[in-house]
Amino acid sequence: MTVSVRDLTKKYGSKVAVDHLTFDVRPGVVTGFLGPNGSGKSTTMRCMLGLDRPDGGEVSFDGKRFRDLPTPLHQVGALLDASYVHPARTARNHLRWLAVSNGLPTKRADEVLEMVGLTNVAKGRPKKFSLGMKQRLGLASVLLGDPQVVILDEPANGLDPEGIRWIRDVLVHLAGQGRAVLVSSHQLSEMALMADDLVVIGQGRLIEQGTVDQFVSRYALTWVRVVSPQASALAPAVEAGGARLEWTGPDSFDAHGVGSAEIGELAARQGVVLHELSPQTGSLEDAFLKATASVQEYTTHLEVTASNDGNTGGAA
Amino acid sequence: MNVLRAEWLKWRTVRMHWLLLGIAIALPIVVSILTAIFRNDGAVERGSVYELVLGTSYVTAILSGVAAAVVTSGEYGHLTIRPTFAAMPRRGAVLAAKAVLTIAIGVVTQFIVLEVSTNASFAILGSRDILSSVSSANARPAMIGSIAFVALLALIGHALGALFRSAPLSITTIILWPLLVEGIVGALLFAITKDEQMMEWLPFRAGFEMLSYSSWQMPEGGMVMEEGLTRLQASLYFGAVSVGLTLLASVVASRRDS
Repeated sequence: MTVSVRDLTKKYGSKVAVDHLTFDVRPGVVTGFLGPNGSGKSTTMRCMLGLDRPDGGEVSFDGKRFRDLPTPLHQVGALLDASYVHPARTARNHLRWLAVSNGLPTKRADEVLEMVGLTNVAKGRPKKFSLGMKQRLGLASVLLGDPQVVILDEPANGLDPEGIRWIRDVLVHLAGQGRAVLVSSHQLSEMALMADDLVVIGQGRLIEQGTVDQFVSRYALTWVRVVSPQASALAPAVEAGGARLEWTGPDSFDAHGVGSAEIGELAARQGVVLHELSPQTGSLEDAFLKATASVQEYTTHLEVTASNDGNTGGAA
Repeated sequence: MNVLRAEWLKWRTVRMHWLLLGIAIALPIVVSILTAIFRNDGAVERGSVYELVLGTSYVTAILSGVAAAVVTSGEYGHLTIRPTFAAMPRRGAVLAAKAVLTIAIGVVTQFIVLEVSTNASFAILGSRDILSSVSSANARPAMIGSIAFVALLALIGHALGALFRSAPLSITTIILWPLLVEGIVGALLFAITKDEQMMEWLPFRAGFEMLSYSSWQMPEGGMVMEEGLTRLQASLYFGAVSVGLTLLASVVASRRDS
């Protein structure tokens, strides 16, 4: 099942939260949904599920509007916020009413509780749950109808490292089964590990949609790391070729604007011994920060002092 | 049908709902029983027992309205309305299921209150040999009217919960509307129009006619009603107000962001 978002627009008064947003979520892959705080990710997801009424555009699930799905839990499992549970209703009963609403047998509640490891607290009330337990309960509700589309808004919030890894494995597994998975997160290192596609938005507008590799190669810096006992002898020749150098140690530098093959050939011609010659690419985080630098909703102008080396830098 | 089943499952799996229902049932029954136990004014006619029981219906009605308001506004307060609408996107069906459930619970609640209160009162008074054998006016229409009144007031509580999405505001409204607001509006209406008949059209004033009862019996067995709306007219009018408010709440809740 493919999810198509077309020209989606949502306004709150004069503020445009989602601005003519268009993207697709393909089956069989994890699609990361990225954007700075206040960029419209959660609003987009609520509009996708018919919870907020868009001012324009449409969202379809294999051509059908969400509200036209007779038993949506069979097609779309969504977790927008783990706190959307009645604090006094047991975990099991929370899942049972969801199951009944879509014609699922109530025993399905016990099955998904086991899947997420909450069987022991099935009769517990969410008001006593940790955020991580609530996230697991939320994921259980997502899995209830064995849906073809999974939509999750920051599912790793509040999870410990084991939980984060678990949710990553679950999402990759679900995508591997051919499901379309859309997941938003601010944990970019996690996103880099699990996402295949990315949808990046800022101030409600689409910045980029494509694969993670495409995004990183487009926005992140690339350079070549050179480590050599004769680095100072090699450096002038590299600079003469148009590269910009950043010294990272007495025997090493990073060369920007030149390829590793060119440096290797220069080193060979000069008889310079190389201990390392490796192409480097910036992280997804670097790419994200560069791509969204102009659309950050909330920025700080405080100077942050590094505690270990006394260096200072501006935080944005 | 799945929507109704889901809403019933949601209702019955929260202890607070049962607590409110228990209070709505127990309070008038306790009042009736204590009155029967401690009554000490000679022979008691059956009609005065009905008067007391029907009088306490107002308590049941208000508590049922409060419970319905808590249930519906609680969905918004806890934001469980979002998974609800994500699982059942046809909002009209969800709100209709909640309304049906509210009415059904109101009917059952008042039926239990009436049955237990009257039978217990008669049993206690009978055991004390102070229950008069003189027959009273037929209380059945007022009994049926009181059941409908409780159900409709619960429906109003549900509608206010869906409209305001706030438990305190919904509860305050359902308590103050009949007790305070209609009194003030009625006084203003009278001051402006000098016409007492106008006040009969205040919703709760009309609603109270549904359960009005006098033990005084006419020779032909008919009821004496004050000038104004008959029980049937009052029932239809109060019912129309309740249903209208519910429809308004459904339309508003269906159109706005959840």
